[in-house]
Amino acid sequence: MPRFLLLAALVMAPAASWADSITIPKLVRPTPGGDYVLRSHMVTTNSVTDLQYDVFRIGADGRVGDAIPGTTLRPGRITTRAGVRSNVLVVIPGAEIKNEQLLAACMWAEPPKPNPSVSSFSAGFRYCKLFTAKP
Amino acid sequence: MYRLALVAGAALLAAQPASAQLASQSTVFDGQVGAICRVGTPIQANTPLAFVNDALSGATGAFSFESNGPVSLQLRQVQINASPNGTANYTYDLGLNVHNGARITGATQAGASAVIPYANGLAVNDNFAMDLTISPPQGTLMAQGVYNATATVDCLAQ
Repeated sequence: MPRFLLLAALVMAPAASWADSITIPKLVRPTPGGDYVLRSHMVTTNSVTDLQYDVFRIGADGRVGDAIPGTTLRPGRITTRAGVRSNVLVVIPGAEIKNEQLLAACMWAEPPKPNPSVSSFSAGFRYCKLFTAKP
Repeated sequence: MYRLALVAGAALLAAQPASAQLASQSTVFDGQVGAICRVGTPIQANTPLAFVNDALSGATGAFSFESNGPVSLQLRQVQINASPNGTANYTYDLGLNVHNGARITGATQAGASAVIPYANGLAVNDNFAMDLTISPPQGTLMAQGVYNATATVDCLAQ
């Protein structure tokens, strides 16, 4: 199958019953073009509509920091089925990675909208998988 | 006798199927399990805030995660969804606690919490809780209106 078709396809493959997980290489290096191309797949315990994901920098203190500007996500948001693997393609601009650094690929869904007439706080959950980008 | 054995042997050979052989097939099952961190006991989606001691505060019930390897937990920067006018200088103090126990780490609307490592991973009975207190500057009364914020826990898998 031509490589461009593999990159463009969103493959939904049946899998065993998995839990929240992102599979991504532990170490990624730039392509000859200079950008970092990640082929990853995500699994959620429950079916999720409008699952978001992105790549974030990890600070020296281990905290998840800001998202990396200019990162391309294909597709932008995904709707998952419980236990079914969703493939995504992430392209990080090479100019954003000047030296070896720890990054996190995270996925999350927005919590339900609160009752607008009652003071409350909403709780969310975000799963992050750490990996290293090395020029 | 010899002739009888020859005839019997020929009859036996004729009765054999053309290709009598043991047929077998095999396949290899393989798979992969990634680094998992999933919700064990779910947290309530919305927690009411009550006006107590001149501040708005509330706390969740128990929630938990489970993982198949070492993970770290972090509270994200508090996201303010709704607040009355004139409350930009209020403090949103979010805490991650052991359920019915001590505070583990805290975050505010200004930044995320420290990262708390769990080298042995997390189990479904490792119960946590979150609490949020919204406070005005000292000596002022809270502005009237609806306040809403989002508190998110990150689970970082190695």
